[in-house]
Amino acid sequence: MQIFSVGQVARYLNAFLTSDAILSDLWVAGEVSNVSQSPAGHVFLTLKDRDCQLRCVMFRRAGRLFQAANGDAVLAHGRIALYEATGALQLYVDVVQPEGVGLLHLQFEQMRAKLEAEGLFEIARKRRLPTFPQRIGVVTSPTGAVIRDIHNVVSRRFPLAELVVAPTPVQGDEAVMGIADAFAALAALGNIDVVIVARGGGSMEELQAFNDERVARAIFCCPIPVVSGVGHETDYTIADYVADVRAPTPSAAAELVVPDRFDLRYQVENKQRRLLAALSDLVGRRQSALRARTESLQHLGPDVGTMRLRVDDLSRRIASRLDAQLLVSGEKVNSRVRQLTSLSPLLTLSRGYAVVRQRDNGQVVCSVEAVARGDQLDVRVADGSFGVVVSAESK
Amino acid sequence: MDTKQKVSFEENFTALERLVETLEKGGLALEEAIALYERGMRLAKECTDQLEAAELRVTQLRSGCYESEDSR
Repeated sequence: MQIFSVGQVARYLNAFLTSDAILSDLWVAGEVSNVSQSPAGHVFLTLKDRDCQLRCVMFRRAGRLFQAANGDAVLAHGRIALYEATGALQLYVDVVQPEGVGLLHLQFEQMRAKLEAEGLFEIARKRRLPTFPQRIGVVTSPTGAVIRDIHNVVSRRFPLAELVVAPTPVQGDEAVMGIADAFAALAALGNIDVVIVARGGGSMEELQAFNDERVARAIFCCPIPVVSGVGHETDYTIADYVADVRAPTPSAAAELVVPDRFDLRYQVENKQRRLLAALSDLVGRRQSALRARTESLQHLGPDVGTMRLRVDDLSRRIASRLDAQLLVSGEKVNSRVRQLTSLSPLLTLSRGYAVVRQRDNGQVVCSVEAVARGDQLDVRVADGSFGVVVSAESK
Repeated sequence: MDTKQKVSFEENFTALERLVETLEKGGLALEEAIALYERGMRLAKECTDQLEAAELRVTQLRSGCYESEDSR
């Protein structure tokens, strides 16, 4: 017979339990009861069904997607081990989630298929968001982080807009009608440019209102473009599918709805630069055109300088030729004068010859035939002339 | 006043945009171009002023429940 110590039994049991393929990795379905939390943050609870109970512990570091409350039907994942200090067999839970998730998912998929078939998600009916919205409707809870985030984003990016909050509960029994009424109220104002419907992150149950058919139809019927920002990035609701634009979070919805004023200022500055560039370009073109004209004028016009030089040159050449000609001419004149002098009849006359002319017509008389008795004649001798009358003629 | 200012930002911005395009298209007389340029610069300044002025504004919400002012 072998006798074991308590510790040996406990360790043996734990070794046995952890080596079991099923017990070391299992999902357990049950109802939550006796929830308590240690100061260190560990959660203790009991899972039960109709007539059995299982003690559970969930350490703080375990990923807790879901805050289990008494009465919740849950699925818990973990391993079975013995807590050696008390000898209690426990489920060490690492993941716990509501058991109803499967059902909700089923309902969600059914609703999505139905509304999609009706055309509520048609891409073709998605409206464009205004570039510069003046009045932004916000369908959300009037308190809490969501409206504050939206307010911060809009006042930082585009404070020229105005937020018009249509307050509504976003979870619980009144959420569905509240959201639908909020859309109707904003539409009735008639001057809203875009609507943000928003809610912070939560469990699928908490987002349930946004999967409701009435909310989906309220968004569909809204005459104003709708941006949804419901839950976290990974959450998709029916409202997201119906909305004109789906944003991953409420803050992202606000960013999608308004332009960024720093970007706008940059755009304005850029336009200023373009204005200046366009004007400089125009002036520059005019200047270079003017320069080109001036140059072509200089090329095409008469070259006054060269012409002046040519005129000077020609004048000089003409002058020198004239001089030469004058010299030659003077020489000629002199010789002619000499010739003339030698041929002058006056010289002949001075040798005793005379020139006889008819007085009435000045004809030189070279023949007897040219005169008749009684004709009056002029006789030119070297130093003068005298008149004679023909008295006789002979041959 | 509020609404008017907001309308005129969009109008100024759009007008500025059109003006830049006209000027860039070219083919304008010099005097015309200078006039456009001056108008554009005035519009740009107005746009910037509006963006600057809005910086100081606190968006007022309609809901009485929401009291947080500009919480930046």
